[in-house]
Amino acid sequence: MKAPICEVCLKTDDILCPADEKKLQEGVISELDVKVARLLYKLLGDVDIEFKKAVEAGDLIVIMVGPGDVPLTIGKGGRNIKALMRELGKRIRVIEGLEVRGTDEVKKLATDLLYPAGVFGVSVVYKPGGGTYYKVLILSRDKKKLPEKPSVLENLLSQMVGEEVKLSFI
Amino acid sequence: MYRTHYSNQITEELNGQRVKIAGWVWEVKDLGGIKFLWIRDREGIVQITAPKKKVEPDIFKLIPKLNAEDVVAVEGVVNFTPKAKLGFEVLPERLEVLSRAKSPLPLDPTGKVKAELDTRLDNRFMDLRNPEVMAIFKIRSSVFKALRDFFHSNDFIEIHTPKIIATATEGGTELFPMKYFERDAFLAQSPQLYKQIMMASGLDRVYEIAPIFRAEEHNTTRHLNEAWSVDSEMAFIENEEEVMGFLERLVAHTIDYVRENNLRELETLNFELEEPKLPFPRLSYDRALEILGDLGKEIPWGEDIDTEGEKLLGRYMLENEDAPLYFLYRYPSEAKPFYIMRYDEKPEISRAFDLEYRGVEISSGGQREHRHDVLVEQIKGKGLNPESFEFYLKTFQYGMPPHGGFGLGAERLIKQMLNLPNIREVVLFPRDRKRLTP
Repeated sequence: MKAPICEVCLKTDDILCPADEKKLQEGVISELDVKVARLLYKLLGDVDIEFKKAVEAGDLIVIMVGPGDVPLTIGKGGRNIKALMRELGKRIRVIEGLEVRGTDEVKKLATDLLYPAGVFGVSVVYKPGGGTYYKVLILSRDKKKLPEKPSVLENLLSQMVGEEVKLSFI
Repeated sequence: MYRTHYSNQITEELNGQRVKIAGWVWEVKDLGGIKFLWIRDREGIVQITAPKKKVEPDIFKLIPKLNAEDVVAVEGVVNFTPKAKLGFEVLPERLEVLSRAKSPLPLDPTGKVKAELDTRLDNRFMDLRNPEVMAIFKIRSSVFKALRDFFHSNDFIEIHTPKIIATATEGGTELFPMKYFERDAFLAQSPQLYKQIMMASGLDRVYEIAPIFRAEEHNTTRHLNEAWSVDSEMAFIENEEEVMGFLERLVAHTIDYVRENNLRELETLNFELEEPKLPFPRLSYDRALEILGDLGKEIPWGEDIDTEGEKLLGRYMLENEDAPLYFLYRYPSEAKPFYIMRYDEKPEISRAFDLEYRGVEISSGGQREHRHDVLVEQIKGKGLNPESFEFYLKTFQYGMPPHGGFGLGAERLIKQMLNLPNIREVVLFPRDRKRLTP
């Protein structure tokens, strides 16, 4: 299993190795990444999947994995998700992580996260004082289908994308 | 010149006279001893009748060899006769082929064989040869003429503001970034701040008809990335009602102008354009929410009325008030931009309005906040930094009269006026997420 921490750290529950500890201190990885990586390793063993990172907001944790790794991570009948929910005490969503280069990737991430609500489009908004954010458009009739409150989803998406993301309803 | 008359200029007074007709071959019919050629020009169709005994043998032989969409010029004598489908015909004395059309054609300009919108837009030059499509653009031309005439007859001055801008305005928008020498710049999404600045100049009543650019990455039937905006601003108003009053007269005048001057085009489109009734009904935001609630659509107070809500209201107003055009006004301040004035005694309500046409917003406007200090507070209230608006705010400190205005989407006005399904129908070469050529 590929993870943001090394194999030795995956196998232990104790302190991290100096290299991973440094990544944690520098904010390259988070406490949640470490926790989820170790839990996944316990559940799945050394399988051929990549755990990229985990983000949380409100009552939801989003686990981002490599391309095609979602089914194995979820497990048969959502077995692994149920176990993760018990351990972490929050709802879990597993989606494919992407390197964000522009609106196409943001749209893919938002589509996965906001399901069953549909994503109508994603645009870049330029702020008057400089800087940008991504605007994710959702049809108002889909508002009730959102898996969480809009503010929580905006928070999660911003963490996933690494830039400010706002939801907008049309 | 190859042409002395367009098809619609051939009247009974020309009976027996020689005319020159030029255009594209619409249809050819060979009945043996008599050949028919229908030529299409910008204004309609002319029938050329060539009986074997009455025309030169060369012409008689040439007609059946013509292909659809060849460009031809004919000189001949007008003959008004009830036998002709159009009431008259031209007996040719000269026929010249000016340009040949390849076969097969990229699409059928008669419209008999239907084509997808994308195919039509890819071959717009050919698409426009369809009289129905051309009718839309003749109406578009009339709309712009009517708008300009009305502004000028009401003492408005035409202005032109920059389309390359340094920073985003109006509190953040989807902009097209571009390089301006060594600096970053954007294509303007609205002349809003500039037209307001003009209110401090003494020009008092201004308008601008120009393109606006919005980098919205989604495609809908009512959004374009390049559109033409009719913007206006007027000084020394006492309330937003004065702006609404002017806007409704402008729109009514434009519709009336089309009704009077585009009868043939409306007939070609088989569309009956309703006479606008003034004044347009005014529907407050609160009342609109009540109506929507009764129709089963709940919108929390403060939120914008979404597309679905707009459509429902549009249908309601048409069925119950017989009003395709109506104003929505007294919007919540939080749903409107920082430059809109609020009611002093009820600051949660703004002096903003939208003009709706068949359930689609075609214009929005309102009275602007002209008091510098209040404006600064409103900018801050929207989470924006007043320093970003320095060039704009400066003009409010040296004598800024009360003012208001509106932006009217030209394409939306035409689309809704003709009740067309897609806004791309009213633009020659639409720019959308996927379309940059032709």
